[in-house]
Amino acid sequence: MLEPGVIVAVAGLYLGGLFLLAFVSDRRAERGAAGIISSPVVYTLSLAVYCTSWTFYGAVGSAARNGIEFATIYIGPTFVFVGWWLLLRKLVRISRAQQITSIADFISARYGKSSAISAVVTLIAIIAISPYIALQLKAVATSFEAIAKPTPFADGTGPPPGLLSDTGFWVAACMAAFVILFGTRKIGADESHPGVVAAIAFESMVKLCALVAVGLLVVFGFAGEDVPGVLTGEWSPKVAHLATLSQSDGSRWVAISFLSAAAILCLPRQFQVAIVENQDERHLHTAAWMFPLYLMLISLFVVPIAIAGMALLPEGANPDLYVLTVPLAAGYEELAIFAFIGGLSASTSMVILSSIALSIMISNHLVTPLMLRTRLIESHSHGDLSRTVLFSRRVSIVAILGLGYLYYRTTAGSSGLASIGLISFVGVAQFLPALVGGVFWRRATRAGALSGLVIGFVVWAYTLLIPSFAAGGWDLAWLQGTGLFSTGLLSPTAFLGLSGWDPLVHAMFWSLTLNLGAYVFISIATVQSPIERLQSALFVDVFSRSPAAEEPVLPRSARAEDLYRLSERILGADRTASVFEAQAARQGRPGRLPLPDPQFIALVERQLASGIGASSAGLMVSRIAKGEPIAVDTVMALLDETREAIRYSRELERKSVELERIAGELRDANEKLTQLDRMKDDFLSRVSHELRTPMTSIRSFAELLVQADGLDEARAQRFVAIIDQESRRLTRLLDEILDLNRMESGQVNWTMETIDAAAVLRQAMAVMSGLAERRGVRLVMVPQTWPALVDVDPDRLKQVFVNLLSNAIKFNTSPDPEVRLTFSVTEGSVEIRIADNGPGIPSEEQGHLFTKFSRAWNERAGDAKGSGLGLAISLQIMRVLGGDIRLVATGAQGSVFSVTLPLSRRDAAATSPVEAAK
Amino acid sequence: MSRRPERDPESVTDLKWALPLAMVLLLMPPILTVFDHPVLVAGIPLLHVYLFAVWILGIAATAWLSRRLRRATDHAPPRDGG
Repeated sequence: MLEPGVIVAVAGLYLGGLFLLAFVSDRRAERGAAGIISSPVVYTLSLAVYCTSWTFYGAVGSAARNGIEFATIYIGPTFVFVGWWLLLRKLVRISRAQQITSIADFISARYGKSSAISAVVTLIAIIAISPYIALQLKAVATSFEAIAKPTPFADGTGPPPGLLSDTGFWVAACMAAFVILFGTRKIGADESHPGVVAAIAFESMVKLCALVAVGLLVVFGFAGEDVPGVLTGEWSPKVAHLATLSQSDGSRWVAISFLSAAAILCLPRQFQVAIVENQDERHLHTAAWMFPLYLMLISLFVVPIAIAGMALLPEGANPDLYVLTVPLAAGYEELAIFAFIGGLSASTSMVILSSIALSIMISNHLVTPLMLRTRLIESHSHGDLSRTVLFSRRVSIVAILGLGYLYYRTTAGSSGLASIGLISFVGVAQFLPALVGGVFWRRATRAGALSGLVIGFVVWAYTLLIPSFAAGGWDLAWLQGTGLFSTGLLSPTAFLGLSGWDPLVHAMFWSLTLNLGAYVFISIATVQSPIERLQSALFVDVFSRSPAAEEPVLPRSARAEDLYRLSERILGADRTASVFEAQAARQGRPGRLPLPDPQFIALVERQLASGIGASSAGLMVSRIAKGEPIAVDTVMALLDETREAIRYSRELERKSVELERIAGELRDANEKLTQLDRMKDDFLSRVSHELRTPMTSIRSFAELLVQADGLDEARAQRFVAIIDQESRRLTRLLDEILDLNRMESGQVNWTMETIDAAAVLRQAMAVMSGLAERRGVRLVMVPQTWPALVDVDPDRLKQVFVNLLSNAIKFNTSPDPEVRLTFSVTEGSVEIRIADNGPGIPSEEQGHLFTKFSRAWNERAGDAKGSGLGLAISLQIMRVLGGDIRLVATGAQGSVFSVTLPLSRRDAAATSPVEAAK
Repeated sequence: MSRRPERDPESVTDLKWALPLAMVLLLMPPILTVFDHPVLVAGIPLLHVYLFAVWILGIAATAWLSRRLRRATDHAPPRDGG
């Protein structure tokens, strides 16, 4: 065992170091050199104030009693942080925009800056946190007794000692002194405490390291000794129940997970570190995974330590102290001291932050409104309020720790740490409906929130808090048996006669159900006041409001001097001067007093709210700001204006997107038109060129005939023949242009008949065989056995085939030219492929191949001149016939054109070759 | 030639609500009770192995998703108020 003096000295040194750390951090933050303090890691570690001595000692105790159920306390917050995008982000955004100072401030600001709500939330918080503070006192006291006295395995069942010989009393007194020194040295411009946050983050590291150190000892340090190994071997029957869920129906599992998820939002200290002290919304990105990781790490060794404790220590040892007693029993005294410091870290960080958060709530929501109402503040209207505020905070801290100690004494600290903590969790969970409903449900009213809070609180106190006193020896048998009025229906553990539930699940279910029911139905039954409506819009729509847009404010007027004096008293001279001068500069006015327009009055009110809470700030500003009595219409109009503005800007956004799209389409269309125009010019120039070539030769030969008198008959005959040939070519060209034109405008008469496509192809081959022979091109047709009946104009179809064949023949420059025709019939259509082994079609021409404006037309024809319109005409024909013509492949091996036609429907069924083939 | 349809980069960020939902389902009865058997895996009860495995995987997925979301929101306007 260790000397009590040594323990006290070590603890004192540690707390002194902590104080120094906070002091240095505050100084650095003031100089603007926040550096590491405003990093997301420090933010995450400060969130770990969640892990109090309940975690440090109690998790192991809980694991020894109920197995892995302890993990639910850490799984619930994991859910909230993994889903940070849904809720945490919104809470942080609102709090920053509204300069929220605490959870009471948040809820009251949402429901029309109601001072009743902030007072109720504050009172509930104070009462609900008392068991939690008691838990810390108990943990520190029992751990001190365990490590320092010769009776290390005390479990607190002895008779309660006198006040002065009670370790718990001295722990409470030291803590109160420490917190006052620590947290209320000055009143901040806003309620952020960089020094405290840094100290809390440091303590989070210490407690994690301490617990992991004990865990490593248990897992690896005992491996060689005669202690049952944790990682290997069989689990002894003594600890076998830890391997599985102890509750078969899992209701406690669900309930505690839910409660801990609620607690990470609703505990005043968690709201303080996660939301009020948040320096940068982006820190949430990191905390979203790092905080769950911290929780997982701290849970990792809990079960091994519990098993080691149960195996090493005698039957009656307090499992809540295994973290200390296991290293002590194994002879590792230094590790035991480290573990004690870890537990002290866990307790002090919780007590510091809880009492700071609660004292802010008490001074802002109970003391200041009271002084405002009793006009105490007016009486010394030139004095500085901050001294009063500081004093009230110090008194509050003593009161909070006093209440905690009272609970500790009353219940004699008889239950396990975890079950004490859960009482607090159910208490603060009563904030959940008003908090979450407030940021998502626009129509929730002040009356609904207030009644939900009060009913939830009363049910919680009746079913959970008061019965917990019975453990402390109070005679509550009359209550516990049949409940109020002795009807049995109101028994604290079996409401409406529903017995057999776990008391915690029972209390949670009834308090939250009645709370939520009152919140929802009274909200529906009541009407929001103007200011409530305004605030609810500001909260619910926080993301749809652009930061640049002006927020809706109430029309009010006030004298700038009055505002200045008021602000000076709350915020101090420096901050007031900077706020006012900045605004004056923004308005372009000389001097330090800006024009007190409604926007500015709202700004000042918000600045005041950052010091004393929204409801008090509202009350104070309303004393000096005169306005028309606020009517529902005014607020409606205000909100409509903003809503209109939001809608308008969204509409603009939508329209600009649409305009952009249309502009893009126009650009495309314009490009296409330009291209068409270019192609048309091209076409015209080529047409005139084509016309001019025969015309020129006709004219020159005609001139020769006219001028040359002595022209012999034979030459004259030849010239006339050339003129005839050229004029035919001219006519053919004009005919084709006309033909194409007529076809495009649908003026052609088609004589349709049902005919075998192969027959048409054979006719076309016959026509072209002369040309093919002259050129030495082999025409090969793969034999076709089935008739492929199609509904076509045979002449037109022949025209298409002739055109393709003539191209294939004329452009074939291969040494062994060949044109191969294949014929395939698939279901419903026939495809004819005409493949040559020519040079292929250059890629830049492929896209224009079937247009009449083709650049390439006729160029490659060389001496074998065609009109170049053939393919364009062919495509027109195929379209009219319901078929298609495509270039399937082209390259150095030649080109393949494909002509497809639908089979005649008249007898397709009878002669379908596919059917026949089967 | 068939091209793989491109994924909408926004669709990944829908995990911001799907992931917490999945974690809640996996770590609550009745799915949790599937693993509630007195079986040891390398000396550790199956339920404990399962719980911590889902936990750490959920944390890893959140870390990955946070990076994606951060990239998506870095262009967003800075916080207002202050």
